[in-house]
Amino acid sequence: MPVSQDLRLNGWTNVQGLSREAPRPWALRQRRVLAAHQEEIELVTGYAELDRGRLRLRGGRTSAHTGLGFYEFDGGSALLRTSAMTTLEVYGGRSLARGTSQPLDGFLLEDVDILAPNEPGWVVGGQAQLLLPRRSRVAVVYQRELREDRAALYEERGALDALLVTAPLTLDTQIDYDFAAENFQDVRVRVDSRRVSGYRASAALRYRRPYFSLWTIWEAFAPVGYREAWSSLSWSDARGRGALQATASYRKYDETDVLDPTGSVKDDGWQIAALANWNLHPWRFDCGYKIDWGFAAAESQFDLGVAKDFGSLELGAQGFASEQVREFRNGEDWILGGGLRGRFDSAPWFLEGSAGVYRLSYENRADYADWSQKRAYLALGYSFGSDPGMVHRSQSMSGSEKEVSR
Amino acid sequence: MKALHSVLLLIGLAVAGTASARDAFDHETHDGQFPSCRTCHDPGGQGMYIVGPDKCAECHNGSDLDRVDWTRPDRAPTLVRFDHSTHPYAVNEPGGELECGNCHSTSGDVTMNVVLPTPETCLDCHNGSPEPHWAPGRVDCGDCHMPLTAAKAVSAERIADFPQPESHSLDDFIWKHGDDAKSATEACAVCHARNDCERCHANGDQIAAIASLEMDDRVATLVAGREGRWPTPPDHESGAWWTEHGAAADDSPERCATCHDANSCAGCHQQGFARLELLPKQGRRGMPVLPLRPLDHTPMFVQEHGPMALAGDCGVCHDEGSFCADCHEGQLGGGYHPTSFVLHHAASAAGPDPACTNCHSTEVFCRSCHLERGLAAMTRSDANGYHDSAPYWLLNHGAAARQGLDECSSCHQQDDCLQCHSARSGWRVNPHGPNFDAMGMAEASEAMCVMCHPASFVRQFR
Repeated sequence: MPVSQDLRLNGWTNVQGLSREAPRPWALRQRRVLAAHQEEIELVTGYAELDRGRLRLRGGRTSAHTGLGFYEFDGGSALLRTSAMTTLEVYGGRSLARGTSQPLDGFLLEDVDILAPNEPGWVVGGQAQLLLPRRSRVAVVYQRELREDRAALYEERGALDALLVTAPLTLDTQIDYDFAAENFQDVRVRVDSRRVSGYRASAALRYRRPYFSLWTIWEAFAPVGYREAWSSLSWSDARGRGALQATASYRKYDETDVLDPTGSVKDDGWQIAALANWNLHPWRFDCGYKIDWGFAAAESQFDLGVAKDFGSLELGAQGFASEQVREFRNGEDWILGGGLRGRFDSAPWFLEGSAGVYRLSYENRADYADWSQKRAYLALGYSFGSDPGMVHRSQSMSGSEKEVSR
Repeated sequence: MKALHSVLLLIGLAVAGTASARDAFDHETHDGQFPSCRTCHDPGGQGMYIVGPDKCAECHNGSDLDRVDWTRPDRAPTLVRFDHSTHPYAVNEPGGELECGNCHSTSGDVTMNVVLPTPETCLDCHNGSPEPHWAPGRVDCGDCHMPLTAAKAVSAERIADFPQPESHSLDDFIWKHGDDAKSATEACAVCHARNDCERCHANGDQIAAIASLEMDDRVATLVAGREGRWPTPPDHESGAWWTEHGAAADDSPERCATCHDANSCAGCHQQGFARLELLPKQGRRGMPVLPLRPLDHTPMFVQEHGPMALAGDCGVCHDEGSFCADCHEGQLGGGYHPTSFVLHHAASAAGPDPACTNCHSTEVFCRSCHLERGLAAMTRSDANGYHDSAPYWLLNHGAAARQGLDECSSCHQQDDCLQCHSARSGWRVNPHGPNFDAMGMAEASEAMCVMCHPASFVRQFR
């Protein structure tokens, strides 16, 4: 049975601003799914932080979250709050393959690609943010990743993200540019209306082209992007007791300039989804449906969930059904699943877990046998202080204050 | 003006405080002994005063009359600023505007049936209405009462026992008291000091009506440790308030500052914002605010929060260093993907959902799992393999590869493609598109070029 075990520890010192932030510093795992990780103990994230006044310093196995996405590295970062409206951040270190804790020349890459780099990479970047009235803001980031011997560039990208909030509309713009390949990677403009009587409409236009690190050959294979139009209409109850949302999108791929004699490759796709949730305390209901039909793979999916809050105990049940079709593969898959989940809080302890059973059935694939899978998750936590993920101060508030603050 | 309730009630209290001592003097027994009240109370025309034992002894001297033991009652501390000398009385002058009995006699005559006047007695002349004298807008409290801060003799215990006017208990009083305070600050000052207001008003020093009040040590002891009351304004109840309060704060930061100080905002706005400078920073506390889940965090929010996150909004409530990493650290995939996601992620990977490559390296993260599950291409092959519904896949895969190269790389390693596309070891099938910039690519990463091309070939582009 594949099992992964994670240990997470966060600590704070008595020195103002100095903390050790070590989410999941030791991931002790027996992961037979990933042979390369089997019975490895590795540091996923672990860093020390000094956050005092205008300056925040971090060092260790940390990460950068910018308009370019999520980057992990062994190094450090410095964030300077130059004023109430501006921040500057620089970061750098030995880069890790995204989504792993392995350097580019580590054993994991060697296992999956015989042409994996034999030199580690170093990433450096900087980000500036300008905060404007009404939550508006602009952020610019530049990032460069080099092979350690400087013989090759792995990446050189930049991003501009701007959020402009006006009384009637919110305009959200994202531009990612690949300086190495000299093309736009992701350009998106989204407009959200003001919520009126609980309703809000949103629309977006997007161009996206796959991005590849230059330690691979894929950029030279001329990947093409797609253009997408997206819209959404949502409604939410004034007191947050319920919400409905419907979205629709259509995407069209650029010309590939490749001869397709059979004309069988789809070059577009669309998605429609609707979701609803309702909070009738202590009950909460969620349901959703999504159909995604397009190039390479299609899916029709339905989710249903119900939960009840018993105070310190919350219990819930979920059901799930999905039909999958793959464009270049015979047959289709059906997945039916369901499970239970729960959480028990008894400060400073909490216990949460879930268990589910999924049944995968094949249609029109006689040579494949149906199979089932059981998945379970169990976590035990002890909080020494406030949740490091939420910047709240509830621990210092009296009961009466909590009452008046909704 | 509603504060007049308490003001005028205080008259009663103050008067009652003195009445108990004065009533000990038996005025009725002395009826007819003196030509006028002034004989005892203002013999020299110096102003009214309370008779002391010396005055009694002029008659009760032991020879004419028996001596008496009389102690002048002390004046009870009071907020009443009444001054006999400013009233046009005519004690011994019948036909004058006022006579003592007009206020001090139940019959209104000049008799020894002496009583102390009530607030209504004053208002018989001052507003001419029999209605309760504290009715809002009826009188100017300052005419009869001094500010609390000036009545130094009134103890903190007395202040604590001040009755609360009924108007203060009305549901809408807290929303309207500001207007009342602006138009009748003097009335408020009769019962309140600045300390009272600044329990709740973080920006008291910027509000004229509050700033005009004085601090008071007695009130300070009474309000010490008592939290303010900050009921939720009606517009805060709106479901859209979470997202719209920023605009309201821009339009009128002083309104926010009525209840909030910078610390209130900092509870959520970790990184600050432009208007934060306009709110009081330290000293008086404002209403604390708990971060709440914004209403735009709908069930689908997890799928569409990317643009907002990239614009940096998450840092308003979340510590991006740890909160985002819970899901986005990618390797363990905490709560971002549902537990069943791995079973049906194909459409999401190929579709327009937030790009997998924002967090994952498809050629490492995805391929390592596909490899273990037997889904990844294991060897160079010219068979259809996984693509069993596409005849002659090798001949037709080009368009699919260019559209979904990131999906290809989640199963295929580079060497798979080089079997045909390498100019060194393969069949020299050119994979480059029509506008391929060989020189630019070689400049960026010569190491990439030499995977397929001889180094001598690459060098010509440098």
